[in-house]
Amino acid sequence: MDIFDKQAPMGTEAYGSAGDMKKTQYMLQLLGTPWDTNTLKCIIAAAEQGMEMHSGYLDVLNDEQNKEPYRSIFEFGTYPGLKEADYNVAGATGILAFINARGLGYSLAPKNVTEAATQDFWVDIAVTEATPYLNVLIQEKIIQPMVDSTYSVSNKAIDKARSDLASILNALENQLTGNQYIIGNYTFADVHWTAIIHLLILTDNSDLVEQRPQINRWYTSLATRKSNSGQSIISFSLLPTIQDIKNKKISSVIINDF
Amino acid sequence: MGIFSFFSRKKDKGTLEIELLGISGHIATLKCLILAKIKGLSLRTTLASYDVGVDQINSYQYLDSSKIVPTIKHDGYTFSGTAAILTYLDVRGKGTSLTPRKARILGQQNYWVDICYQVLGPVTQAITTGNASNDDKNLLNKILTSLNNLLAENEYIVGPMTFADPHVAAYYYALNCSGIDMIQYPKISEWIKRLENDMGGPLNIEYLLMEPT
Repeated sequence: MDIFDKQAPMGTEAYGSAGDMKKTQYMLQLLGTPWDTNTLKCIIAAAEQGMEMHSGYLDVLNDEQNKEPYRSIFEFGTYPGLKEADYNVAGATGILAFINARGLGYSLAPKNVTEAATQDFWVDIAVTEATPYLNVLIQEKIIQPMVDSTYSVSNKAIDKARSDLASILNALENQLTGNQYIIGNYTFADVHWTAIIHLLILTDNSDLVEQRPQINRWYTSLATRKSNSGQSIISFSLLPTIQDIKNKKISSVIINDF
Repeated sequence: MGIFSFFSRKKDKGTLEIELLGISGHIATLKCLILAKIKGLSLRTTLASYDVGVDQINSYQYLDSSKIVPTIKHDGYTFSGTAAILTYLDVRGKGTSLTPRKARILGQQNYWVDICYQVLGPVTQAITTGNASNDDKNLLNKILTSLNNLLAENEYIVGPMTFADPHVAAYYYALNCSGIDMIQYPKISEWIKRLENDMGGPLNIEYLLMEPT
């Protein structure tokens, strides 16, 4: 039994556990944290692509990613980590691509080269520019108060992060104008930005979203959007609440309608 | 001239040359140049002047409020950032796509791309700016040892040539130019030779010159 089986067990109800053949034979296990954008992206992608995935909490607050047994699987301690039978991969970039290729829905990566490059540009902005500012807000509003009840938030840091995020969100607002999803069709760009906007709202910054009607319209529409694979699961419904985060609870992706 | 002459001599696909705006010694720019060579694409490269430090961690950087490097222009399209540019060059260039078809190899390719950004980039930034601590040097040795072991089994980073190769190669060039001795990682050196053979020759050293930070 490895760290995945301990912390993200498949259980006896998992499909395929009784040896019966299901629509897909692949069973995934994920280790991550509910306040991590990369973990949320993996959950969204698994739901969108109809991949059952059992999730467990990786205790990064106690540096579990840099200790055994996690380190013996992922030598650089990158997370989230994914297991599929005898295969392991860490990091959202690898996990998203793996789930996309394994999954049941059409690819989340556009086939058209200019659309694919545009998608990658918006993913890049999410990762390179928006996430570092969001992480400041997550640290100040969620993590530090969680680990230290006497922690006094830095309003200066919060104000700066919000201010820096504003211009990035303005660009996203412009991009969404005239597009149902970020580049037109639903792609990886939407997966990345869904995680970011969701955590932005959970850190008491919903005003940044509500002030921007296109982002608000796009984000609201995700709450009723059925999966990319045609199954009834709604990826948005698996995103954590603030209470889930405090309880260190991460949703598993359970597929019932094969 | 160096890199300009090399990249301007090939004109074999389409009539429009791809314009690349980059900066010297910039890993994100190097990744674009390496992939263009692998894919046999002609680039008209302009090195921007700048007075900010080189960002060796992220996939792009701002030179001012509106100018991003690397950026390509081609056929009416403009794309910025390594991810978008590599995607575009891969399809526009010769041969089959570097994107693996098998899910597990695809996952491993992207795992190493992630390691580049999360681990190798910050260490390379510290090395190239002369600010590396012993921990940085130990971590670099660990990464290079891991790659060396991987390349003892694989012809390229994850087996077949993928996007992981131009990504990792860019750090190799930057580290090599910063005086990191690669002799203790023979499989990496052999891999670079294979890659340069696929590229039709090594990157011109003039292009790698580090600007003041």
